[in-house]
Amino acid sequence: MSGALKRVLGAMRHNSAAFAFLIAQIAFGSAVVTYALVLAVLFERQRGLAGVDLDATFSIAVEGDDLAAAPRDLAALQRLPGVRAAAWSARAPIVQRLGGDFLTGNGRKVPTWSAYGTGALAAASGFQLVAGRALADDDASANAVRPILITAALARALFDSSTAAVGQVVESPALGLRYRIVGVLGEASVVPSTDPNSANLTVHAALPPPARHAEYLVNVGPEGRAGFARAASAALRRPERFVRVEPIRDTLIREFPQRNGTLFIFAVMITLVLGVVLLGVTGMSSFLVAERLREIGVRRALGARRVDIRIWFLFENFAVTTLGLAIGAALTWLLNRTLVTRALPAAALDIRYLLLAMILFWVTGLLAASRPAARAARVAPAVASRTA
Amino acid sequence: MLPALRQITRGLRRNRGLTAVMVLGLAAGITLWQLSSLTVRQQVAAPPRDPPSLFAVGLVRQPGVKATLPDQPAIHLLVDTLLSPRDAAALALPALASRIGMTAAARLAAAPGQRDPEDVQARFLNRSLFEMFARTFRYGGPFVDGAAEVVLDDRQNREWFGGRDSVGETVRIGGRRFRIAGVLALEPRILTWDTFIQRPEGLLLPMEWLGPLRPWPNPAGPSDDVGRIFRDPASAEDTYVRLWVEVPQEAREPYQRALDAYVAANGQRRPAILSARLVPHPEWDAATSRPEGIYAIFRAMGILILAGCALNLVRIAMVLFAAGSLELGIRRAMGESRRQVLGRQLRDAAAVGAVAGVIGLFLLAASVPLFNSLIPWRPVTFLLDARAAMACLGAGPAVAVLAALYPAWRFSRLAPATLLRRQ
Repeated sequence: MSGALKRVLGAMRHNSAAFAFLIAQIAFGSAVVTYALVLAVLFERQRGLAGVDLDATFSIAVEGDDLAAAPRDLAALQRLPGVRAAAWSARAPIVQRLGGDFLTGNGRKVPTWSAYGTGALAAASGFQLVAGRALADDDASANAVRPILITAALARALFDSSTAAVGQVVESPALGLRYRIVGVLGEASVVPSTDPNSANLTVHAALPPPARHAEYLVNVGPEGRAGFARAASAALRRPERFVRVEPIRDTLIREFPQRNGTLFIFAVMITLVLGVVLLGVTGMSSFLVAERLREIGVRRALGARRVDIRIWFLFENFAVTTLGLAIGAALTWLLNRTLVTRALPAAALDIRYLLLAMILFWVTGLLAASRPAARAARVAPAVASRTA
Repeated sequence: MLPALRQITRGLRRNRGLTAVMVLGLAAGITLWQLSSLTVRQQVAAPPRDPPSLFAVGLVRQPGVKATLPDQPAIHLLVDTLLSPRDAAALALPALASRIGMTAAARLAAAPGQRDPEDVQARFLNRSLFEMFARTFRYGGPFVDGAAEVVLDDRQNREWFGGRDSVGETVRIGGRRFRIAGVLALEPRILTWDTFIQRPEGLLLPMEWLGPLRPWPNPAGPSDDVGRIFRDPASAEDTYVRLWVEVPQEAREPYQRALDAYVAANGQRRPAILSARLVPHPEWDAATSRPEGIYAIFRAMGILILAGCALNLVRIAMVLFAAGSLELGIRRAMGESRRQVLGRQLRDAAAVGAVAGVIGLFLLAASVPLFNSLIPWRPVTFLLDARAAMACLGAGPAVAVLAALYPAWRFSRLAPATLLRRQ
């Protein structure tokens, strides 16, 4: 191994400029590919809501001049086949969010997101209750200490355990309100996990006000899902009324339309970078094979097998790629420190994508070097006796 | 000039494959570099009519959304300048401001003519804001405050009316009919009268319709009662209205005193009002007209890709020059100086770069509209501008010459005999 490494180092010294340019190219390319992967995954994460059953939960938006339609709409939705829970929601999922807040309790202060709706909101969203009780519509009229549900993540942040949280009183200093935790939900969120506090959710009871616009969430069993959108549209349709029924999965697609385009652009970038590296490595390996025909011939004459020659060239390529990737990792880290963590903290470097980029480069490098290496392996020992 | 070009073409044609890789690789690198660069560069704010006199009224309240984003002062500024409707109404002081404009964003279901209603991003505003932010119209003009009139933006007009003059046509919102008074001209810059906009705003309505149309607000702060804005607007704390004022120099101190008095008189409210101030437009502009963070990363990636393509060029140039060492050796043996050899090789590289620049420009011309359609709902529509075009045409030869400098220098130093022996 050390002999092979020495040979690689010798080759690098002999063609130092060509190797330096290739190594720099791999370093730059790996930084680009790593960040393209990080950003692609970030956009992919926008398409998920922790705890929400994306296919079972339907989002319904209605808008019309009837200001008192919400109770009738909810009753109509609850009558549809397969409906497990239906709730009015104070905010359209994903699009509209109540601004974040702090909750204090047990001497701690934790940032949170909030969801407001009729009692069945948590069930309609597909959130699982893991401790305590669910909310009811009556809870909306509580004045002194308001009942709320919180997520297990928030419970752990405040009280170290889910069960200990039930019955506790927490406070919103900004609003000057106190809340009693009546139940704890498993995984639940109203914003994608790109937000660092997305797992800290509170669910509050509220009743629909007289508004032209209403949002409903409906959880539908598997047997009713296929025909639900059409049935719900028919049940809610009135003259001059806007009705949109769609699974939450489609809402995410509609609200983050840039995801496909972004993935396409990053795919183009990754392809371009790997393509350029592929061509570069192929060219470099071919050049080295052509330059060393005599040396290869001598080795073959001294007893080296074809496979030894092939391994020699592949190892050389692997070593060069690895050196480029090591410099690329340092460059990526530097970019992360100086630019990414400031410009877009959610895209901070994740070591997994750096490793994935490295694997991509190793595979590309080996693919690119395999043909020249095979050509080198075919060189006959007699080549050694030819004069240059 | 012509013989020189012919010579270059002949030389490059000898190694078509490598030349094609050089040209296309550099062209792709230039395209991505310029695309990433113009997406950052063009995200600049459209200047208002009178920036030094323009202020957003801000009320600093207890944390709200600032709680979840503690290290982002720009976001805090944007949140602080969102007011509840009652605060906006109370702090609009016509005695001290020469112009006043309120605005709020919302989504509304609307439809042109007899089509089915669809969900559009709407903006309620006073007519004065069109003047304060120097908006220009493609067709017609601004609506009359309070009238059943709307203004469309260029994109919405194209979507609904195919881009023709739609002034006088009707837009339905629920059972109401609104006349289109004007269509805004396409503004290739960020409009800074508001922010937190999730989609381009297609439909603009008089502020007076905010009450009757009752769109659901998307406030920036937490609320103690989410429905109160509809049941009792006068006491609601939902913050979703921006208040812009043009205040002459002499009236700024009195305006600030009035704001301070308002804070003192509203000490009991929750979330607590801590202070109030006039936020100068340049300060607001600095916080709002910056491109999103991802564009800065995209630009850095564009630069790295161009650098990678340039390095690729260096290596291909080395191979190309090595392949042509026989010709170089003969030229040197025939008396051509090192400088002439160097110049010839750099000239070849410049020719490759020029072709790459032109192809890069064509690719960019196709990429910009593709980018606009692939990444919708951004604050601006990107355009291929003269600067990007010049950058493509200039960068091609410049990058190619820089990339070829080392190989050309190295080969020009070799003795004729060495060059001939290499073949």
